[in-house]
Amino acid sequence: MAGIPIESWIIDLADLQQPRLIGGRCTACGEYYFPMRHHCAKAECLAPCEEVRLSTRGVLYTWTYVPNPRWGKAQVDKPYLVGQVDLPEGTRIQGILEGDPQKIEIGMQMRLATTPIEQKGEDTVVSYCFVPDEEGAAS
Amino acid sequence: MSDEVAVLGVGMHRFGIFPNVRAEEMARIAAEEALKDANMSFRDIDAVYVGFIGGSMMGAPKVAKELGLTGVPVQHIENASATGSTTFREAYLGISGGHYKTALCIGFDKMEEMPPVIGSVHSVESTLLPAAFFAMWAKRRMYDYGTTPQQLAWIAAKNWNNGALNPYAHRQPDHTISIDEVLHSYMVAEPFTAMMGAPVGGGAAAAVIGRKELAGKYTPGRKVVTVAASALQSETYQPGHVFLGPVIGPSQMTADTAKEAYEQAGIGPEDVDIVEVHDAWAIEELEYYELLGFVPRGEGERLIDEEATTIHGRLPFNTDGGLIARGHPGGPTGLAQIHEITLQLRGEAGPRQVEGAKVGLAHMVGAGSVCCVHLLKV
Ligand SMILES: [Zn+2]
Repeated sequence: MAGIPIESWIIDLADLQQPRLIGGRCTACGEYYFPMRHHCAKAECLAPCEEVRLSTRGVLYTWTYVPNPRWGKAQVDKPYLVGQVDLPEGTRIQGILEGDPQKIEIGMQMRLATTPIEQKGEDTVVSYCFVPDEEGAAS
Repeated sequence: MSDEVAVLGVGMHRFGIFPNVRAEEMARIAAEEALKDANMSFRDIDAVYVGFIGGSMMGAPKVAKELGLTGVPVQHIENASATGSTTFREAYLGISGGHYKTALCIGFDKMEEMPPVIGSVHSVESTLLPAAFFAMWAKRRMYDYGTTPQQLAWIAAKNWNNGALNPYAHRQPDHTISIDEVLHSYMVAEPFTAMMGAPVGGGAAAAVIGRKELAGKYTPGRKVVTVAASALQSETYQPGHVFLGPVIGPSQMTADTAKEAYEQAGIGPEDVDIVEVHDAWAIEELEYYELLGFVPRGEGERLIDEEATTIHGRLPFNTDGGLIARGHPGGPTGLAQIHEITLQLRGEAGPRQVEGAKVGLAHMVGAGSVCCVHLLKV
């Protein structure tokens, strides 16, 4: 699904087939961060980071299903899934999940996708999300 | 040195939904109660620290002005959920640093009137829901340690029932809340039902603190509660650190802040008699059993199974109902903890009294990004 990223410094939609998350990599110790930051967060390092595109697949660390959204959900008012996905580079990404709540499990393979947030004229504003990665799980 | 600062007086306006009482009115009432409890006039106060999250610009002097125009320094402090705790810490630093003899801390808020969005409307963060992040913490713990929804419900029911004994609590149930009742309230975010979380409401709390010798002058004959430690930390980078979205923050932050407080006071967890923690959701109290050093990692459930953290248990937690029952308006919450511990240490907590309590610990986390721990003692 194409669209306008809700925040263009976080989500790269240049490749219509594959959304990417924009992260940072420490030029000294190699730690990866999401989103992009300009200084390594480790107290003993603090070196500059360079902008990178992060992996599009990872493992579900934890998740929950919210059947009754309240408090703080400004733009989506229907039940939803949310989770944290660990990428191979060691970065944990928190965001919306899409899929069947009955079939989501800690430890499953997930892949990056987009989810519509709102309509702006002709355009759909999208955020990133993760969906169960059937291919990744099979391979 | 730190023994020289005492809590001279405490006051509250009940937490809850009060459509006909302005937030500033609640603040004034709590401040008047604290001054009365300290047996002091506003003339005796050298500095004022006002904590709120949802108020307006210059809201701090507006509240202080209602008490009198005395020319003393007045400032606003905001540190998310740790706002009230941070007013207390700043006042403590002002006094222990020799700048003031007394200070008044006032916290107030009406969370029900705050805008619900974290971050700007057009941001990734605004599409996420804070409660869900505590739920994800619980889900992972259930996966790692086999924690059950019944154990989380036990914590919530305990705190609801403590609230019934606290006239300042938002939730004062008229019957004993059972684990089943908690489990059967509606599902908010798996595994949390609505009764496992803090209510949305308002309220105010205040504390007068000052040099210890003033206690003997203004309230002779009363037990003197002193500040044994004050620690405030922010996050350190941890594996799996989450930067974007409402976050619960790294667990390590609570462990590190508590360690700093214990070292300042020269005591350990084994010396603590009562504990107040940030239980916005039941999972937190369980995690803090461990992170504050009371049991080793992965053994928190043992305290639940032994019912150790009830008012009559060996390690009472959230005797005033905690965030779940006493409430969590934002700005005043940390000062409500100081209020409860002060009453407990003086032996004035009525039906909630923990016999012989001598050391109390107060813990708050702000937006998963800061942690504040105070140790009080008599
Ligand atoms: Zn680095």
